[in-house]
Amino acid sequence: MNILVLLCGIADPKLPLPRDINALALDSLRAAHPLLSPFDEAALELALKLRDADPTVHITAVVPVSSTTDPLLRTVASLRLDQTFGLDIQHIPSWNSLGVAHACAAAVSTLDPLPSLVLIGREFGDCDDGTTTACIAQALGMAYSKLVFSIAIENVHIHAVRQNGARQERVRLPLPAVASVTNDARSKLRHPLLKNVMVAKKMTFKMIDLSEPIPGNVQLTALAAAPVRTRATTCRMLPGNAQMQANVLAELLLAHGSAR
Amino acid sequence: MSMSSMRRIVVVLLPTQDAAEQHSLLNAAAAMSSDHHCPLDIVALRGGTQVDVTPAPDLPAHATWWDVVHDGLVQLSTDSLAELAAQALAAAQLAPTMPRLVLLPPGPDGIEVAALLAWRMDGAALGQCMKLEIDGAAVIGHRAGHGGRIMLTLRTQQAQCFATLRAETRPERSALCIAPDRHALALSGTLPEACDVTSIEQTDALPSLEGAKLIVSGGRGMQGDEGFGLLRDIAQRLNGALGGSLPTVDAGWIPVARQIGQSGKFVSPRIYLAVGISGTLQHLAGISSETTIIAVNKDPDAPIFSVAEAGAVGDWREILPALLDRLESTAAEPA
Repeated sequence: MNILVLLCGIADPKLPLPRDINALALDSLRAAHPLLSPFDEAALELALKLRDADPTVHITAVVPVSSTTDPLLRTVASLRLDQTFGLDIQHIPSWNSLGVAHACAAAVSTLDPLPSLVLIGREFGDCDDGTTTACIAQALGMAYSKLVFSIAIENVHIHAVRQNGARQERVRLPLPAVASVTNDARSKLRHPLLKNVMVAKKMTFKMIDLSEPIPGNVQLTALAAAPVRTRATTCRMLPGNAQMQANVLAELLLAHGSAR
Repeated sequence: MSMSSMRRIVVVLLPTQDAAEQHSLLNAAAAMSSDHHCPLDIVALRGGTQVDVTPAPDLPAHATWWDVVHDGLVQLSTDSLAELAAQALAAAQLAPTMPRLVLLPPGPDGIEVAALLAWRMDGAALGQCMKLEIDGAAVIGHRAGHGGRIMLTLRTQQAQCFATLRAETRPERSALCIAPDRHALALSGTLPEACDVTSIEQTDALPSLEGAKLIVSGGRGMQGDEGFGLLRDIAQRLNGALGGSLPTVDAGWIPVARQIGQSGKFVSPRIYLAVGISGTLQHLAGISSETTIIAVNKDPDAPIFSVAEAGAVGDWREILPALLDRLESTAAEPA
C-alpha cells in the first residue's frame, strides 16, 4: 500500500508580517520560517498511524518548496518516511488554487508506483481555503472525502470518519482515494526520534520538476494587512473582585444574549 | 455597462446551507445585479425527498428562481452537488452565452462546489471572498490569506468565474423589492455513484453553532478539559452554543465542528462570550462584526479587549464558577 502525503507548509504565523507586504516578502517569510500547518500535521500523522497499523505501508511525501535546502523537507523526512520529494512550484502563485492543483496532480502522476491513497490537509498553504484539495482529487480522478479525522484500510477500500456539518459520519470509499484531513486531537503530530532527526540532516532531496505549463487566469492586484476591527467605544472593564465581575457578566448575558 | 461586458450573476443554493447565510448571499448578489444591471438567476438545488421549504424572498432586483429537483440526489456530497449544479446551469439555459459570475454560499461545501465547477468549466476560482466587484469585463474578489492576517485582491477577466461570498456588510435595503419569477426544473442526469455513509451517534447535546444567538467560547487560556466543562455548563444554562479556537480543537478540548475562526466556522450570534481567547485576527475572522463580544482574560493587554464591548480581567477559575452560580440562582428566583 503506497500512501502519498502532500504537505504545503505555511509561514510561521507567530512572526510579524513584513512591513512592506508584497508577494515576494511573503514567499521569503514562508521559505525562511516554514512550519507544517495543523492540517498538514494531521495528514502526516494519519499516514504514520496507517503505517503503525500495517508495516508494509510505504509513505511518500511531496512538499512544494523553492529549493532542496528548504528546512521543511528535513522536518518531514525526520519522521522516517520512505521518500520525501520537493516540488518546484515557484512559478505558480499560491493564490492560483487551480494552478497549484494542476501542478500537484501532475507531480503525483510522475510517481512510480502511483499512490493508492493521497492525504492532504484541508487547507493547502497560506492562501488556500479548501479549493486546492477538491481539485487535486478531481484531477486525479480518484474517490474523495473531505474533513477526515481517521482512516482504516480494508483491502481495496478505506473506512474514514469525517465531519459533515454538525455531525460525524463513517464513509467507505474505494481505492484509489484522496482524503482532505482536518485537525483533531487524535491526529496531533508525534515528535520525531532524535536518531531520525540526525539521519534527515544528512539527507539530500530530489525535486520533482514539472515541464508542462500550468494554467493561470487570476491575477493578484493588491496585498494588504487585514483591517483590524475597531470599536467606536472603549471596552467597559468590569471592576471589583471575581464575584462582582461574575454578577455583572450574568446580567449582561441574561439581558442581551440568552434565548430564555 | 455595455452588452459586451455584461455578466450574468448566478447564485447556486445548496440544500446543506444555513438560511441566514443564504439570505445574506441573495441580498449581496441582488445588490450587485442592481448596481451593474446584470441579469440574476438563483438556482436552488434539492433532492426529490427534500421538501421545497425555501421561500423565494423578495429581492431588490429582478431575479429568476430555478427550483431544481433531482430524485437521485440522496447523498449531498460535493461532487454530486457540483454535477447537479453543472446540469442545472445547462438545463436552465444559463449556458455561457455571456460571461457568468457564479456565487455559492460560504463554508466547506460551497468552497468545494465552486472549485469543482471552476475546474470543469475552465473557469477562474476566486475562493472564499468577503467582497466582490464587477469592473467592466473583469471580476475583482477580495479574500483573506495567511490565517486572516492579509487581504488579497484578485482580478480575472475569465468568462466563467466562481466564488463563494460571505457578505459581512449588508447592502442597503432597497424600498422596492420584487418577487423572483419561479421555474421548476426536474433533472434526471447521471450523478456520481453514492458511497456507503453511516451517521455516528453524537453525545454532544448542546445546540450547534449555526444560528446560535449566544455563543460561549474558550481559547488556549482554558488550559484543559476542566475549563471547557464549565463553559459547557454556562452555555447550557443560557441556551447557548459552545465554541472554541483552533488550538483548543488541536488539544482535544472541543470537537472540530465547534471551531470558530478563519479555518473554522463563521458565527454571528448576538453575544459572544470569549474566555481565555487572546483575540488573534485568525479567530476574529470567524466572528461577525455585528456581534457583541464580552471577554474574560487574565491579560489586561489581550487584543480581545480592543474589540469587546465589556471585559473582565481575571482568572477564569474564579470568575466562571461564580458566573455559573449566579446564573443558576437567577434561574431559581421566582419570576
